[in-house]
Amino acid sequence: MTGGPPDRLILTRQVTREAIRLYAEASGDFNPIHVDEAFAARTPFGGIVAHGMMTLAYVSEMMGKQFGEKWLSGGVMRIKFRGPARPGDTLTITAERQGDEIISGKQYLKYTVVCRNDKGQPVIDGQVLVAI
Amino acid sequence: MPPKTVAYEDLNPGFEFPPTTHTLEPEVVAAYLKAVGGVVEAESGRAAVGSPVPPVAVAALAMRSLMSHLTLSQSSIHLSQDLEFLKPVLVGEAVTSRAAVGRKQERAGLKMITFELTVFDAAGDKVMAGRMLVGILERKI
Repeated sequence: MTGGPPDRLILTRQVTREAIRLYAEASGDFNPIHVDEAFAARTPFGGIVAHGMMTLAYVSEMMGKQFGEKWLSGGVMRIKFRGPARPGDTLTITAERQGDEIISGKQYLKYTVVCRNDKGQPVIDGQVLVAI
Repeated sequence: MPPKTVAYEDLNPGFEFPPTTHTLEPEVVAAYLKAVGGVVEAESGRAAVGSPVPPVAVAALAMRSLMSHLTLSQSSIHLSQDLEFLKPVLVGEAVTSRAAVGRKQERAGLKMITFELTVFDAAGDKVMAGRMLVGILERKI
C-alpha cells in the first residue's frame, strides 16, 4: 500500500509484574487485584492482573505512532475488556481498517482492534477511530 | 486531608463529583511513561516539559482524581472504556477533571455503574471526554 492510511497495525508488548507495580504507582490504582498476590489468588482471576488502562495505553501508543498529532486531537477509543492480562503475557494488539465513519459531520478512519495474549485469548476488543 | 469519599450505594445518576485541577508534572508523566514503556529523559527521569502527554495518561490521571472521591468494592472490575481525545495536552499543563454518574444498572448479580469524564485545559477547552463502565461483583472475595 502506498500513501493512504494503513489497512493493518500491530504492536506487541510484554506484561511484567514490575510494569504492573509501576502502573499502580503512576495511576494511584492500588486495587489489590493488581498488586496483592494473596488477595488476587482468591479472586476468579486466580492471580494478579494488569490494569485495563495499561492495555489501553498500548493501543493508544500504536495509534499515536501511526497518526501522531491526528491521534492526539482526533482519536476515539471504544473498548471492552474481555479478559485479564497477566504477568508474563505477551500481548499482541492488532487493528484492522474497517472503512470510515462520520461523527458530527467529521470523517474518521475506523479500525477494529483486538488485543490477545499468547494463548490467543482476547484481552480487549473494540474500535479505534481517528479524525482525518 | 484526603477528599471525602462517596460509596456506591450513595451514587445516583446525575451525581457530580467535585472538579479537581492538577498539573501534569514532568515526574508524574514520567512515572506513567516508565510503566507503559514510553520514553523518559534518561538523565533526569522526567518527561520533557512542553512535550505531549500520552492521551490515555490524561484519562488515567483524571480517573485517579475520580477514584479519590469513591469508595468502591475491592471486587470491582473495569468492563469498558470509551475515550475521545480532542486536543493535545502538554507536560506541565494544568487540567481540570469533571466526573459524574451516568447510569446504574444490575444484571445477573453484577452491579454496574457508568461514569462520565471530561477534562478541560487551563483555557477552558475540552481536551478529553470519556465514559467508564465499572462492574461490582456481588460475591465477597
